[in-house]
Amino acid sequence: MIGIELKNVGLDFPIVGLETRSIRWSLANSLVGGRLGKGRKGIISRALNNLTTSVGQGDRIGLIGANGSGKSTLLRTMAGIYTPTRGQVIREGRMVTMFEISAGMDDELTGLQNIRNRLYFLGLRDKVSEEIINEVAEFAAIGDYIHLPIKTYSMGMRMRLSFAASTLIEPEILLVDEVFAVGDRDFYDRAQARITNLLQKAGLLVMASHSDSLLTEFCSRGWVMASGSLAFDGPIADALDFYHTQVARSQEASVIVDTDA
Amino acid sequence: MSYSLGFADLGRGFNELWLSARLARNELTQRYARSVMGPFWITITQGLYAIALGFLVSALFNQTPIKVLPIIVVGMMTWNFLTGVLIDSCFAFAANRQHILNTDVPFSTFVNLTVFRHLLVLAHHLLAAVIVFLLFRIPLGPEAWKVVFALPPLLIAAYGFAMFAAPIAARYRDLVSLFQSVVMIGSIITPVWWLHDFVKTRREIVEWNPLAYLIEAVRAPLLGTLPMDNALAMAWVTSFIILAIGCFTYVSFRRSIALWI
Repeated sequence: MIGIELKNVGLDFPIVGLETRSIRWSLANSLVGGRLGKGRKGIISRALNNLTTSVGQGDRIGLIGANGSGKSTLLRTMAGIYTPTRGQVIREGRMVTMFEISAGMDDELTGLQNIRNRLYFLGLRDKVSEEIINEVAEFAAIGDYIHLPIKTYSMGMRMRLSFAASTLIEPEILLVDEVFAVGDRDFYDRAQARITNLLQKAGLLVMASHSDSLLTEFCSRGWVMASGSLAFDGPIADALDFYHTQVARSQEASVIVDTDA
Repeated sequence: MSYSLGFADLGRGFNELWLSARLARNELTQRYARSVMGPFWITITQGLYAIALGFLVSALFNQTPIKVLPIIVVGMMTWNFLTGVLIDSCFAFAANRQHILNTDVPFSTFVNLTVFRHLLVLAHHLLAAVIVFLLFRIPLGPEAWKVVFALPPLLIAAYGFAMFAAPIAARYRDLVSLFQSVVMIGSIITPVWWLHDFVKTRREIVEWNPLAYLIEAVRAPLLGTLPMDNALAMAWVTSFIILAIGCFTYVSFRRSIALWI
């Protein structure tokens, strides 16, 4: 059974400042019984708040929300990178993440070398061969640049390379954050064909984006995030509508000052 | 408490040791690519440093240079490996933030990477040692092969140091300068460039120093010098204590690492 289930998920982000970053300061403070820190408050940001929902096979979720509403944090929590402070994330299925375009890539290495590394990062040591690497290079379609260090690449080229390598193994769960924004038309068509194919094989997609057209193109269901909570869950068109009429204007990222932290 | 998260992460990291090894190799080849002598600069400086210190120490302790040189070479090799891992581990997570936040890779990959990197440095120091030994026609001890029993504790202790330092340093950014001070003082009071029996009075300086046993267990058989009492047994015990502390630290803080970096 492929899917992700979130049960009352909450995540507090410690904002560690100068003093709390210093072990010598902390040691000195504990020697004098905490008197140095009197009146200072630890700051936490409530990044996710009581999220309960689930995603199943074939779902294509579009994550909608203003900057700082918790989209990326939610994706990373779903991926298991952040461990929730409260609640539970249950995930089943082979997962691939595409959060930042250059993630897992080394500027100094060539495109081909980076494909190889990226595949290793995806845990595909056994599958890596010249043939597979060439297949990825072909899908990325960046021509002779593939032999050059990727510091010479444009953002779009990096993204193509990353997408081509990430979707090679047909992940059952694909989590995507914003990165598609830099692709061109031709690439979108091929990317969509690949994702459609992937979803037919019982996968699921969660994708955050600020582009309405991308979201309608790739997703069927929409989640609207507001201040770390799930404000709306329904068909993508309705979600976009909800976001534009209800949420977009009243957005404000919330930082909670917590004296106990 | 979710210790299981930390243990699972360590286990996954172990399963993907080859990834850490590959990343370490990548770093090395990139360093090779950028300069004529590449990492052999390490070998050369290490050799020259040992020779210079050898003449000084022989004068200070009234010994012949031929006697102190191998002591310094082997002592520094082991000391630099252990403390190098300890200090470098402080950057294990911060330096690999990109990978940790964006890919589904066990965090301990980067702890293991640090150990591998220093194994490679150790190999270069070993080369320096071989050159010095050949150059000055220094004979090995009659039971030099017994050094194989002393190498595992060295590796275990290094791994323990790495698991200990990496998560705490992710939280406290000045931990590394604290360690640097400790290592500097430690390099004087530990028998690194001198031998434990150079100290006739105040024996507790060496006898209460756990790192002295780790170094002595390697050095005594290799050079055929008089060993400390129970050096090998103490080395094993010390290494497992360091491993246990490191392991406990890692699994305790694993859930917060992504939030701190």
